Amino acid sequence: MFPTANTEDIVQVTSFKTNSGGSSNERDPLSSTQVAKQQNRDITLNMLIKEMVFCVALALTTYGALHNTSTKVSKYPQAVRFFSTDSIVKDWYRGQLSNALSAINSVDVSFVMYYAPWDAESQYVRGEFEKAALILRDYVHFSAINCWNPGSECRLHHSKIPSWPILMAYTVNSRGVLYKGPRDAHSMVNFLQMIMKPLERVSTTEHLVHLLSICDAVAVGYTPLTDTSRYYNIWYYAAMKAREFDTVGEICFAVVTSEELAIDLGVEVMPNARMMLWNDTKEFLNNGDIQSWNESSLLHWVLENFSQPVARVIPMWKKAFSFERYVDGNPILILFTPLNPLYEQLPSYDLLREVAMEYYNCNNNESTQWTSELIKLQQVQRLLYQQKDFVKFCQQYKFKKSVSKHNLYYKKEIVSQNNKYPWSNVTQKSQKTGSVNILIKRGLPIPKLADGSYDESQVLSSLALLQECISTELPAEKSFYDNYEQCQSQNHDRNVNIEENSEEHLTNLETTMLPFEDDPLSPDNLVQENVKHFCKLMKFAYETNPPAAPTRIPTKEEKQNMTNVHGLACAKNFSLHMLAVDSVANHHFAEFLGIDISKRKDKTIAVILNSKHESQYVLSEEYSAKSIRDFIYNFTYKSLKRSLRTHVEDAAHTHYYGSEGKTTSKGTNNSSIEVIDLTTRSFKKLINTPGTVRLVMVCGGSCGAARARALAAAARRLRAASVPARAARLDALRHDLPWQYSGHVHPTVFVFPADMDKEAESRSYPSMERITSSGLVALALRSLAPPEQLRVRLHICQRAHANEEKKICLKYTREHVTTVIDRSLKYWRWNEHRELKDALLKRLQYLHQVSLDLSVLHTSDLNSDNKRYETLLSNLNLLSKTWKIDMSNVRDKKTRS
Amino acid sequence: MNAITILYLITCYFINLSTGIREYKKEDVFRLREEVREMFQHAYDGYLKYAYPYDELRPLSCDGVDTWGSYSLTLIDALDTLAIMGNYTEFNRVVDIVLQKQNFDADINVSVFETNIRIIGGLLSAHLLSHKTGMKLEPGWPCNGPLLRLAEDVAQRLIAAFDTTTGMPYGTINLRSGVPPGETTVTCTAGVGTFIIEFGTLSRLTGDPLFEEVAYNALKALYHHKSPIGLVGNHIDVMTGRWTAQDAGIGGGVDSYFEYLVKGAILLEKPELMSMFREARQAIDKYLKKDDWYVWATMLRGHVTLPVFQSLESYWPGLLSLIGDTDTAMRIIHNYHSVWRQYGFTPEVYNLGTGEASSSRESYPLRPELIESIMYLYRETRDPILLQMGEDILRSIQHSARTQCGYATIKDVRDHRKEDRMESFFLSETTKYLYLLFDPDNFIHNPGISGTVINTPNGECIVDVGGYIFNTEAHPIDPTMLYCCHEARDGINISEIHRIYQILEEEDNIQFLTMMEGTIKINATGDAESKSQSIPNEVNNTVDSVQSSENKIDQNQVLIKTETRTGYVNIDGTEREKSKNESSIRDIVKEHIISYYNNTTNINSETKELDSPIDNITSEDELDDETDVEVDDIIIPQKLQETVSIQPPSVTKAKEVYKLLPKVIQDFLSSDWKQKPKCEPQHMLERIRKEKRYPDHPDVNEYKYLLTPAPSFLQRISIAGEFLNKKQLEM
Repeated sequence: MFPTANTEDIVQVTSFKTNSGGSSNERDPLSSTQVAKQQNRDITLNMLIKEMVFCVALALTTYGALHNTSTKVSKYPQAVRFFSTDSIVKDWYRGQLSNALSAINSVDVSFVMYYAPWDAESQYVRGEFEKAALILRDYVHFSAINCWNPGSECRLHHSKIPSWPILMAYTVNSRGVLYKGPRDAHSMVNFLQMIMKPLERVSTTEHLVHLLSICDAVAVGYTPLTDTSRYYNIWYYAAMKAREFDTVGEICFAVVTSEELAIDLGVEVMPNARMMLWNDTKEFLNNGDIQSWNESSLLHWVLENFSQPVARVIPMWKKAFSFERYVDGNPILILFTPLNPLYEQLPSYDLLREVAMEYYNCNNNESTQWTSELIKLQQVQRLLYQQKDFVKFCQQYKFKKSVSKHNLYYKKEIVSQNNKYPWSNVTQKSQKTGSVNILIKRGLPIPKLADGSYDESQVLSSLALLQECISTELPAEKSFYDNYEQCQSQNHDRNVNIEENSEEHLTNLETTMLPFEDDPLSPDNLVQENVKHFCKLMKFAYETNPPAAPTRIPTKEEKQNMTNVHGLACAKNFSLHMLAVDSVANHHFAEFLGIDISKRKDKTIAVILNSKHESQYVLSEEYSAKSIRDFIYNFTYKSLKRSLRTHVEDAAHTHYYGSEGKTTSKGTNNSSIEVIDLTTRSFKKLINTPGTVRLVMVCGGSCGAARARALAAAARRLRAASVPARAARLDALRHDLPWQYSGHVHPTVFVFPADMDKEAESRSYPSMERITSSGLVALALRSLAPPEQLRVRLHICQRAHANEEKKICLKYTREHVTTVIDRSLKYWRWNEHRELKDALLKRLQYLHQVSLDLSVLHTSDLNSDNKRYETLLSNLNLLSKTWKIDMSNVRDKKTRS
Repeated sequence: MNAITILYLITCYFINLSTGIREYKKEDVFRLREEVREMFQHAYDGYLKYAYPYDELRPLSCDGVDTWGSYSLTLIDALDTLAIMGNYTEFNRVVDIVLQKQNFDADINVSVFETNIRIIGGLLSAHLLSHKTGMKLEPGWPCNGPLLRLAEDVAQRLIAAFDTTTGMPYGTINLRSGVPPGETTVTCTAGVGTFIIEFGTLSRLTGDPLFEEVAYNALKALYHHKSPIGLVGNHIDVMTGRWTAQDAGIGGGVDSYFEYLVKGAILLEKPELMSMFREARQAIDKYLKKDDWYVWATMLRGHVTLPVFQSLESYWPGLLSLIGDTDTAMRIIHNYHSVWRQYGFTPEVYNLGTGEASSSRESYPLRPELIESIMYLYRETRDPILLQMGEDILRSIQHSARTQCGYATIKDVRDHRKEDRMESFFLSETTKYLYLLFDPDNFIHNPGISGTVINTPNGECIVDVGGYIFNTEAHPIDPTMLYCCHEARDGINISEIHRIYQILEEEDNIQFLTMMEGTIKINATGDAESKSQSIPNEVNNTVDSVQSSENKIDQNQVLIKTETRTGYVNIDGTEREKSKNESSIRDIVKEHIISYYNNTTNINSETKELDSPIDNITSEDELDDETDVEVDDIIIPQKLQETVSIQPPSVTKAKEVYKLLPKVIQDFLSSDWKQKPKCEPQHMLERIRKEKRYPDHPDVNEYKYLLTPAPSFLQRISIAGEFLNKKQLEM
């Protein structure tokens, strides 16, 4: 791991080794000398000191020996309960590993937390673990083992745990699946749900289509049932193990156990696995090599081939490089939205996924067709999902249960419940529901399309169906998207009707069965149990964040103007990477980009980061199908306005100096001074309000004492010389500035003159020089008109302490006047304009007068009641009058002529 | 169903409703802050109750013990923590107790290093903070005061240690009689380079240049003894300048040398110190940095000797954040914190090869370095993951180190057994940094948005604008106070104004002229339309000519500058003033002496004369001069290298043989130092000035080294432990 010296070197340096081994502690060599000092009468110790320096390791033991005689050492801490006694979680706080394992082996599924009692993270996860246990107490056994307790059984077995806690899920015959996902209750519950049901059994093509419509990728194993079901088992374990790497279930694992269906789906060799991705379908076994059908190669294959149009980034809050592979010079689009894994679908995310597929879909080959089919499919599915209201459903469900078990409507619901969600009408009696389902049924050959047997007529017919469904309302519109929207809303009503119609049919079926009120394992009760569990989960998820969905129905005009992002990825020489980040758990990322995510609708926002141009763009409108498309389109054609990041003022979880009520007002006190703390917005405001000389220091983080003092002192000094001056600072680490002000080093100081309102007139402090208040005064002087400048200079001279200083000061002032005269003369000579020349001449006359006054001024005359000084000041006043009138007059005349 | 809802409510009530990661709302942070305050109070009360007036509390046996010098160390060390936590009454009470002591006269041998950082540092920071606590201030504060006098008294007692041939100090001194007879001449690197903050502060507050010059001289000495590849070893012989332990690293024995280079540069506005650090860091990154860890290597060739991480090394990320390299710092601190996560504490030595705590150095004496870096980095980045790290530390200490009367050293991080010791830095550093991490509104964190005006003998002065510099024992120093007593003449220096004005003017001139001409021409266009065709050409021409003149001036810029300057000099006859301000190698210390100590002008003029040829050279040809100095720099260590590289086999053996000699003979051999007359600080200073053993660093006026680089654009998504490649950040 660490490059070490060659053996030769090591031999060479062995003598040093002991040295540094001991000297590695900076304080110890000293401390050892120190010890000796205490007993400096003991002359033998002096010798010890010398020895110590050369072989400190030895010295340390001596030091230890010296101290140990008198030093007590406590025993290691006693093990105490970590979870409370009435907790659902079984707490093995003495680390009784074998007892724990035997308890674990006696149940179907168990979830184990190995903790260390002192660890803050373990203490935190304890709460989340209990929450998860409350939800899943009927299905999963929850255990916690203190695996740190010195001398305990668990410690002896696992002596090298790099960080705590370790979470493991065990099923009856698995070696255990390590949980690496986020350690919140929601993710843990979701993970355990997947462990309980790692595979979705696909029995119809419709079911497969349904999976395709909701998952980022579907991995299907074709393992026809055999005597040993070996292939199935391998696939099962591979799916389970995959959850170690895919903790939120982005890949859906499915299995086809029917040979007929497999052949129907075009699989010839069995067992086989297929990975159905958004733009491709991969086959695991191409050459029929059954030997490679094992867990590790399957797992490897799945993870290797997995790709998604929108990558989910789940920061694990430890050293990681999750964003790294998306930073290759291309811009990145990040969608911040709640990504609660307990919801089956996340419409905001799904919308971006559709847009992304459109965006990337530019290669003109067969996968293009597949992708566009998939887009439609997912769109329908998303819109259907958005319509569902599980809160209502759960309430209604409970209500009905209490009324009568033989309620007809209720029974219909039961039937639907077989498919996990009662409203997924995709697979439920699809032939009876509306046109959307028919479309999906017609669209069934989608998987086959990928294999090349694409039949255009089928797509056309589905198109026709859509037209049909839409024709009653908006016959003119052709866009798929709009059609779906409409169709969908229309169908919703229709579905209900159909369902009601079907009730009779269902009832008939029911009557042929035996009553099963008392049997807890009866289908009826199982279904009920299932629904109950589902409602519990949904409620749990809902408490943290209600499902977020993009704005649903666009208005008519919007529909017509929907931007087309199809294939834009190939339009320019760059393409966006699209990422999604959970805005509930990881709102910090948005806040660091200067977005207060909590104030956005549904906590959803999209941001584009363009590293090449160091610019950032934020979606200004509400997140919707139209706005996100416009956003991408406008970015591609460079018509977006760069948004400047500025600190989120009252973000809940980031705090900083002054977060508590902004600088405690000790303002009444004369001795306290304030420097304005700017944000991006107030910076713009400040530089656009003339009238004062503004000194702005752009610092990285805090300004540092020397600089802050210089800034405050300079402004104070200028104010004392009756120049309206303000000092301000800006933290450039958190506030972006327009290009011209963002430098490569901090701090930089700008001065904005009082009388010029154009910001271009600002000056910056020379970067090579030490920032002092004197320097800053000089910088401010540069921004003043000569008469004013002279007045400030005189004021400074007046305030100088030593006579010598006053002398020098006056000398500089005289020099300055000479320079001004010199320059004015130059203008006068160069100028061909008559009136300007006159004006300059006038100015020169006054300047000469001032110069004369100055030359006779003595250091002792620098008092406000002195005659000579007063004449000088009055002449200065005259000068400043002509100075100003001069310029404006000339300009006016010029414009008139 | 109902039962479940009730259960929900219960869980929601008892367990904070939060998501994925530990989150810290304002209330949570304040709760943690109060917990730290309680932690400090528990240990502090324990010390007062059981251990005072001994140096340290023994937290298991609940009594006191003298460890470093029987001067109630913990009390002095914890003083400013009281002020930072806002316990002003207790602060004032303790100051009164401390002031009962007239001086530190005692016949005890103390470590120069520890006394400096703990006692002098503690007294100085208490002195500077006393205006906040409502204490009655002496007239002339901050340049005068009882605590300052006490600190000066201690420093005077330590100064004798610097009376060596190389200017590097001895490790131990007797507070009454100076260097003890037979004292070893070997000191660790940190023991040489960890004075500039306290001594610089003392000098600038009191006006006595002795301390700062002596400490600065020791730093320069170390710099000039660095190896040809730029590394420094672990221990050096202060008489011969030979390295006796040649392992180079950033941890124990060396650590605060680097720390003081950076902090001294900021505190005293000395860019050359920063430049020295940059050079050192280059070598460190080249030879010692592996995978964001730092290992130990030989100082001559850079071969890795020990792949270990020491708990003391954890200060490094904090240091990097001070110079604006937060990205690297965050990577490193994640590594260091992973060790904490493994054991709940950082062992003194952690073996990187095996990934385990070293079995001989497995203790954790409540060290502050990790939390210090976390605090600095949090202030700079506000990355919430740092609060998690802070809480990790707080929890472990609370769980495993707390005892009935204080907090105990962890004897073995692997099983959390406690040892009967509580070092004073637990109260002065560990709790202070923890508290500051969780108290974002503390006055210490002021980013420069408010300040106080005080009246000093030098006129009005603005202080308390934040930017406090912590010494290596976490004693904060307000740099503005130094300025008040040292430079401030009502805040304004006239020649400085003139100098900067001149620079700006030069910068401006060309641009301004171009602009003026341009506008004139454009005006002319407006006036006479008939000429409009010819005018563009004219404009072009003028622009061209202006540009060419610009080029010309650029080429000759240096020349022009000198001309104008000499012009001023000749006319006004203020040559000394001018050259002092404009010479590119300005020795701040010398200027200081001139302005404050007119009685020592003789020496000054002497050194001035010595200086002036160098000045001329630089102003005439800066490049040459630089290379000259560089060659100079290299030559000394190269000589050293030749001798040293031959040394190890033979000389170290000889040394060992020497060590084997009986004590009496050893004493005899080193007896020449024993008979040395008592050290006279002023003579020593004069000797140092006269000898001028180490040339000035070429970067004395390169103030650009004090600027921090702006972070790269994509660093804004590098939070919460997410990183990008170095290369990608640069893209």
